[in-house]
Amino acid sequence: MSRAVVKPGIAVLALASFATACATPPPPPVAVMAPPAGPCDESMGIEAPLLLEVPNPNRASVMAADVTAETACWSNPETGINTPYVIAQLPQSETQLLLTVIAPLDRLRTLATDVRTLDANGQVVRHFERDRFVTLGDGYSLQLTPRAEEAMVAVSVDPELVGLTHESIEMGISTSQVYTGYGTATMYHGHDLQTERSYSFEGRVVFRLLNVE
Amino acid sequence: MRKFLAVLALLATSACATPYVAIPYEADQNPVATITLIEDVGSANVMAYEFASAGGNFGLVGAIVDAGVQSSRRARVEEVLENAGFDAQAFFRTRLTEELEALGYAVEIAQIDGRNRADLMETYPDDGDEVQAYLDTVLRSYGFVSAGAGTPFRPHASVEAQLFNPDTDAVLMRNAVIYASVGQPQGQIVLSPNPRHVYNNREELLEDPDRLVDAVRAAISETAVTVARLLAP
Repeated sequence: MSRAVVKPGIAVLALASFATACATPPPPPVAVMAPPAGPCDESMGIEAPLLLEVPNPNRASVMAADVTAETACWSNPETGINTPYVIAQLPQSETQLLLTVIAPLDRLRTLATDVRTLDANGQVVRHFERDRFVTLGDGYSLQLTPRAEEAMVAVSVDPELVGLTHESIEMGISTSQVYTGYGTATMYHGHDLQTERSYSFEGRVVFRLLNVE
Repeated sequence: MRKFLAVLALLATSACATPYVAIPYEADQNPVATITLIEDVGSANVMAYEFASAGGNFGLVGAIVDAGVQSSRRARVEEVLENAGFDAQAFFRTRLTEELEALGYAVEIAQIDGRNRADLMETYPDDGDEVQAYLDTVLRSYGFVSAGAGTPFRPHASVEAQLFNPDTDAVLMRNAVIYASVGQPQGQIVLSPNPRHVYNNREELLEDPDRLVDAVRAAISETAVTVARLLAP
């Protein structure tokens, strides 16, 4: 009797572990080539920005946001093309800050970031040209030192960049544990991967604020 | 010893948790017309290093064997560069000067002592009104790197640069540029290596001396171009 009860339980457990082991991970998100359908705002709304915090000296605070079809969108009058956007508020600080706006390198895509700094009224102070962007270890990035009159940073999408691809070779070291007969040992393995990504209307943006004492 | 330090530095930059503190150049806030480039860009020796090597995974004996293999490879690459009369430091300086001049800067070269290994200088001479800004650059490492056993060798160069105003004691720009980085150093500029320059093993690396020299030139040149671009007016 009891065996008859246990067997289905085991079967369910086995099925569950089988399903877990064989679960296919979701495919990485692909680049989005189309702008938001809209309707979009005629100006960027500054009412609910992300709030960046001043980190301790020589430390960084990090905040990330996903830029998607659900993100607020703006009809850029310069290009006539809709773009999603995210606004982060820069904190007041007595010490020098270094802000890095990063579009992390996803497996297949990178957000085609376009960055402006805004004053407290939402007026553009600086709009950064594409040649100011570099690839840092973390992604497609812009480094800037906020100025006194700059209260916010706005990240939208550069439509001219969307659809362009960038290839890179990524080298690194990973580790694994192996049993040697006398115990476990850490083995180091090198990897050397050639990757190709497209700039996208959607993706993740990371704000890293460093307190440079 | 220098090679060991360079490798250690490269690993540290790959693995460190504290981001590199860069200072972006704000040309409109601190306009500079003449850059005084410090002639001494360090004295790093060439490297030809395989990071996660097979030998390194097998204890002390493996490490000793590995050290011999790495050293022998490095010596052969150094020999090729020497036979070609290639001076990495002079080449870097020349390329950087060319790129700065192409951006519209007047460039002067200054002979200043006081470089400590592969670090930026801690102090700069106070030359009153004679020097508008010192550009201090260090070629931290160059040569070839492989991520590990079974992965190819690729040309590599790593540079740190700082623009300093001796009049105000202000650092106007600081950044680090790595061509072919093993790992993803936070906050440092990473340049992906040219896929054309790939060598699957030591024999391939050494079989064509001209190609080897070209690959090292390409890595150093790209870092010099990138450093200059950081100072775009």
